[in-house]
Amino acid sequence: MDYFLATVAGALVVLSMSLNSALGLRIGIFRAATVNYVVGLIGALGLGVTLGFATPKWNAEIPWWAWTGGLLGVGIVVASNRIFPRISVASATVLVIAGQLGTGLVLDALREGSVRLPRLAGAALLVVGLLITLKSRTSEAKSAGQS
Amino acid sequence: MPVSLVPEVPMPILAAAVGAAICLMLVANATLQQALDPITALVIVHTVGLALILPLAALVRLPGSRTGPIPWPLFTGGLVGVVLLWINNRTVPVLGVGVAVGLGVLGQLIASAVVDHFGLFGLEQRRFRFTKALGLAVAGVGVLLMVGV
Repeated sequence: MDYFLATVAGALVVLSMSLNSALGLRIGIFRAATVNYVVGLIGALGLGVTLGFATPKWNAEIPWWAWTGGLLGVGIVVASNRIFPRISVASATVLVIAGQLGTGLVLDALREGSVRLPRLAGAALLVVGLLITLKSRTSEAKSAGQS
Repeated sequence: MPVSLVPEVPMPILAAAVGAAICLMLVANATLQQALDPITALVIVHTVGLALILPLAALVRLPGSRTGPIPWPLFTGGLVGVVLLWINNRTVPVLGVGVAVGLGVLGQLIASAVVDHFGLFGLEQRRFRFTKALGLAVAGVGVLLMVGV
């Protein structure tokens, strides 16, 4: 189930980025990001009202960087609003993925204290698959230019 | 139109940096969610984000380049984000961020191929080709290896 959900999450990333950049084209990227967060906050509060807020465990030890997700999110929304209209969704996706995978592998290796070779090999294959996808794009652009 | 607050870096570099930021964000949000509870974490993440974007939006008045009516689905990106956050907060602590990202990549590839093929959301249409299918297959094998099947 978690495997399936994690795959769906990737699809939602594309959906979310596409929607936000399309809105950004119309009302500007900062206002689009604002709309994104206001709607998200309303959604989150709606969930809380519907399902009920749990009593937060405020005494829990929370590292400072755990609070920065919202800030990173804004940077991501603003930057992707800029990227997506300029290069194709597929190229942007490929590059974003490379950054994500590299960071993820490093973080996991740090957490586990060891590097898992099959995982590295899998990530490498994944990148090869991405590059093939990119190549199909370039050849497509060439043939489109000829016609 | 240049955006002064976002440095003029090449788009590919910016895109890769976004990827790294996404990864760090996933870990930060999942950690917050584990320390508190899912819904409170969702509210906090969005409130913190708003605290940054509201002044930005007020200071930098950027017009959009496209005019005309705005289709209502474009306003739902934030809701998609909530679902996304909820899923990530559940999967990242279980699978590890690397594997979660790897699986997400497969989902992203499939979704972006679909978006490109149909030219959804007013973005340029780019048809699905054999090479892209091959790339998706190779990427799929890679993800299976990552997952450890």
